[in-house]
Amino acid sequence: MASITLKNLTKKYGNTFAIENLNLEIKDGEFFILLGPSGCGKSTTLLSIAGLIKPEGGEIWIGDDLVASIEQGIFKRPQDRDGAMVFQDYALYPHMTVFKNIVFPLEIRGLDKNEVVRIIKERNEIARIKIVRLIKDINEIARIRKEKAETESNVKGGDETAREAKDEEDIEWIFKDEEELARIINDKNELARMAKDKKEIARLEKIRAETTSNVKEADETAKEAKDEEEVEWLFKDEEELARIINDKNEIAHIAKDRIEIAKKVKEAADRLGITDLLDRKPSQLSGGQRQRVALARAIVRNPKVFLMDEPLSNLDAKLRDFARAELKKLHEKVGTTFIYVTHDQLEAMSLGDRIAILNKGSLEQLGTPEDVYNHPANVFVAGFIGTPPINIMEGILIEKDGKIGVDCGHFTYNLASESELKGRIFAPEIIFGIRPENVKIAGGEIKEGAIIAEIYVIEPIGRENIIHLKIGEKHLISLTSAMQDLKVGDNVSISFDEKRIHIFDKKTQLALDPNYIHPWVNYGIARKDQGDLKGAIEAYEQAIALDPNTAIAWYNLGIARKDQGDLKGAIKAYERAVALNPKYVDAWVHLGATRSNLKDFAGAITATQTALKLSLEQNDARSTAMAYYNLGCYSAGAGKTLEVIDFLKKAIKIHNEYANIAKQDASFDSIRSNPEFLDLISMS
Amino acid sequence: MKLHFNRILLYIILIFLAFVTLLPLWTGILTAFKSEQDLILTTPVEFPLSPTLDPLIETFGLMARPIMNSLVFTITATILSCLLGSITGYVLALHAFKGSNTIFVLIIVGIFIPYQAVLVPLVLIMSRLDLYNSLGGLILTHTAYGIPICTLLFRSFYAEIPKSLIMAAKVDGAGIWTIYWRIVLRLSVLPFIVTAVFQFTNIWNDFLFGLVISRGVESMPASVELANLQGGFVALWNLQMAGTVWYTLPSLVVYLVLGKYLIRGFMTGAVKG
Amino acid sequence: MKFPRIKFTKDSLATLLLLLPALVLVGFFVYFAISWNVVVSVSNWKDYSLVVDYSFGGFRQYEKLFADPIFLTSLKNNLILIAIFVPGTLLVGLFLALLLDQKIRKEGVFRTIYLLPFTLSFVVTAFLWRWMFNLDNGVLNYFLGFFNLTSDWIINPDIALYCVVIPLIWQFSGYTMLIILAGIKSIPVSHIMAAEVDGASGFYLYRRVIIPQLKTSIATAFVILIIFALKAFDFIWILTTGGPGTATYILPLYMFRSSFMDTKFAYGSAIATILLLLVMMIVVPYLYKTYRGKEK
Repeated sequence: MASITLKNLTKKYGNTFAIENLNLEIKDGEFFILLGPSGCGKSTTLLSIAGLIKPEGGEIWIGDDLVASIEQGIFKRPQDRDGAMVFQDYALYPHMTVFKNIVFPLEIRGLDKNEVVRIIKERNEIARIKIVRLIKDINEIARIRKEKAETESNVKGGDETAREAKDEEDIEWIFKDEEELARIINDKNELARMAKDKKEIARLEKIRAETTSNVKEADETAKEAKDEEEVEWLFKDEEELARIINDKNEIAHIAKDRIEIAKKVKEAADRLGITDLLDRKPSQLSGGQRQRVALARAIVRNPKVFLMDEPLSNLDAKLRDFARAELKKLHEKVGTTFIYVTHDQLEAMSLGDRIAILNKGSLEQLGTPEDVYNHPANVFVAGFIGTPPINIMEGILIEKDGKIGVDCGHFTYNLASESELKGRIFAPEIIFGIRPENVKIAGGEIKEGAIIAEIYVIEPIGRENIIHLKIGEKHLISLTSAMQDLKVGDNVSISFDEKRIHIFDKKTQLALDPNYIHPWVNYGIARKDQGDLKGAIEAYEQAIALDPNTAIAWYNLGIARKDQGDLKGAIKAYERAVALNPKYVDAWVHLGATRSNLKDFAGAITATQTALKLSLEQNDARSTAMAYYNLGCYSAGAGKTLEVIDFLKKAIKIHNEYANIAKQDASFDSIRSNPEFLDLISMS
Repeated sequence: MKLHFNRILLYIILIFLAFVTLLPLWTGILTAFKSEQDLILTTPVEFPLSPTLDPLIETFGLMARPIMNSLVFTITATILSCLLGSITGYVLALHAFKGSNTIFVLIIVGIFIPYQAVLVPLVLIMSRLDLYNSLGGLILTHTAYGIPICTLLFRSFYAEIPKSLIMAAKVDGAGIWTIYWRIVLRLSVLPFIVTAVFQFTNIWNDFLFGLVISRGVESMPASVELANLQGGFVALWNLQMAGTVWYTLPSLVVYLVLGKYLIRGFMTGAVKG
Repeated sequence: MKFPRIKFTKDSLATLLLLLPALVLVGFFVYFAISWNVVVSVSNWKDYSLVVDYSFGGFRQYEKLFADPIFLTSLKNNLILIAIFVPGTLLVGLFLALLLDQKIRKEGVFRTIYLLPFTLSFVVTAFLWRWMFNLDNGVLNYFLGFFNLTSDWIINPDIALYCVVIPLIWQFSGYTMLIILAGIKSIPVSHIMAAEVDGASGFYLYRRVIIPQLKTSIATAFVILIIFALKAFDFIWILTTGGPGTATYILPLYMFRSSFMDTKFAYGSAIATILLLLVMMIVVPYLYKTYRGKEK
């Protein structure tokens, strides 16, 4: 399980960008969707995370692991990233049975020699210690021998006992015992002692063989699959077995490992309901079964992240609905991070915790399905999400009698909640969007002043009808209940669900949606990161122009102005930000700092005290400590020595690093010789 | 009715062309069973009056050892060039890197070069490596000059393996060799048959390399020995044809049994190369 | 001069290791050997000598070449061979391919028969056709005898070169047919159906719809046949050994004679170099056209 972070990821094919400066943070355990039309860069992003594509720039983090950083020359191979992938065509190995397909990733990783050597060394060490202890305690050996004898009698009980031993614990017990025995035999003294009785060894050898064969039969996976191949695989061929007998430690270890692997495969197969298919070849499976095998192959390894490239798009429609539900269930069960690429917005909406909508290599919007549906950030997202698609019309914002309306040429629509868009008349060219289900067709008489439309085509789709409407030259789609009695050619009055109206700026294509933190802000932050202060300020101002009620835009504008040296402008911006959002701690903190820069210590203290109050409310120790410390500084500036000491004490108490900082802080020059102050800073 | 007539005409033409195609073989095989007397008494397309195995028996003694030689180096070089071609084709088709296409083109140039352009150095190389007039020399030569066409064939075959399969194996943790050994090779049965049949025919039919690299019985290929028969049995057509039958037999059997694979090889080799 | 720093990752090292055997063998036996051959052609290696001398001897072998009537005859013969053999084989191959495209019963049998000559060694072809061309009881004269027409075939210097072409067409037609057939099979059925719906059929369908789409296949066959016609050796060596006189001499054959019969290695190498250049004039544009722009 891990979070995934992409920083400025860039991939070019020739001169065209497949992905350009993509930044994403995918949370641990999230079902994350990359959605977009073909060629939008979603698959490139996924393959970059998998390590199958080498990006041209940026960083990829899987958890705390930096797996790719072009700037630092880091690029981990796919096998070193611990991700599992499900492909659109499932990519099952055609020559392997389902069982072998699923076991393949485990087996390949098992081949990592260093790991094997490490495990063997570890086990030998444990074995050595145990042997020493066992030799000391001959009674213990006797006890084990007795157990051995019991095992033998159990084994002689034969198939029945083994078959009854459905309980896996039993099998494990047999093996454990075997292991112990192996260790004893390995011990030279013991071996020598036992060598005196060759018959005994031979007998034990025979028991071992019998045990092995019984274990073969008893193993539940093997039994259920009734697949000889599988059993054979468990113990490969006799030659190998013979070779391994030389090292009993190893056989115990490997056999146990393999049973472990078989168990894992069985678990994965069970989970996806393909236990009956384990001995089939992929060509003998249906599309849905193949898809599940591909999933089983992915989950068997317990990877940190699942990467899925349109895994459902090769299924027929009916199966897809079912598989979608299964996939959601699977995510709930395994709880690992899923990254899922699709062009199907229905899949995206139904599966995703969050959706990133990509277009032409860059991020259009990131949000929950509810977010992107109800608050599309721009015209592209609005148009991409939803079937039938949203109705989009160009129009102009007008103001009449103090009311805001949208003039779309053939009709004018008055906005009831006029206040939200008030003041935006400076950019009157807009795009008006309304989803079909929010276009209501009123029955009965046509009312005065209503918008009149002609019914053009009626498409019944079952429970609902898609009604194509014409208002003059404009086309409009409405999704209405099939119960409504409508006829082609009828003139009807239509109305829009006010709360579901989307208005976009025509020039920027961005939503004029107060609930959406404006992309202009992000654009400004990015510009500032690049050192373009002026550009950043322009972007923030644009954001504010589009929506003056966005506190974060004002806050960022303040920071940028301050960096530019415009302290007074900065203070105004901060004040605006905290006026819009009185709980904006960072804005209060910065407001205080900037006021103190202008020697307005009283104002600084007021602002910081608010920040302190909020920090205490939010139980945020870091902010609290900082607020105390800042209050100390400003009090020093204001000449309130007593309060300085008090605030500093509190700050140092939370975080004693502040004593060090205070030691060098010029704010305290006036009280540097104060004994109490000296006392305080010497605490560290 | 017109249509019907056209069909009949079509089959007549097809059968006539088949007859023309088989005629040289037919007369060759018949002649191999003729005594010297029959050679004079019968026309070349007639059955022998008294069929005899004598020409075949007489030439068998001469051809047996060269045919063994040919079998040894042909089979060995076929296996080696197929293996190397498979690995090279695999890397170039499924692990393309910057410059891999250039490397591929540079390799397949080897298919087209006239061998005369390397003949003198080849003889010098072989005598320096002490491989002149040895089966080892022929194996090395045929393997080296077989790699280009084998690479071409295998690369074409492997290009059809879905990329996702390779990606899946990488994500599953397999490295470049493991992917080859555990996956690609297991899917290569048909490509190996096709390429092997193709290569077997090529090497078996070779004359030029045998001509310049062999000098004596220890390495003499059947093709060169057959050419020598010409000088030994001037005008003894029955013996010449008998020798031809012996030499052709193995490759003819391969063609008649595995012909469809050879045809696939020809097509893959031609369409792409 | 700065060299770019090459960083070997585990994978790129493995890639290199896997390519290495092929690269070494091809590099050595193709490129190194070709260079060596060129070096020999401009060396001081004496005629009739087995003592190797690599010191630079200038381009006099090449100068000699263009004053050598046998070389010029060989070159001319090579060109005549191309001019007759290539179109001849293409026509017969195309004809066979079109015949076999008529939804023939037992198509596989006919295809197997027509392709059979191509699977034979040139040595065998030469033997069979020497027998066919035989003056007294050769098959050709036997059949022509019915019409009181016989010929002296490959013994006659005036027609020997043309006679050589007949077996070559016999051998290569099946292969050409196969390439063109593959081209026909790769035309989408919907294309042909669309043309049929539009009323095209029979001869017209072929001339207007199918044959124009065979450009690539025919070009491929064309290139392969030209290259073969330049490289041909085994067959003519056994059938006529260049004779009578120099009537059927071609460059590969003359190269072989110069180097290995006359022991004029430098001279032979010069012929080989010219031959290589001729082949490369065809191969390089062909490879460039086929594989250009596929570089990733």
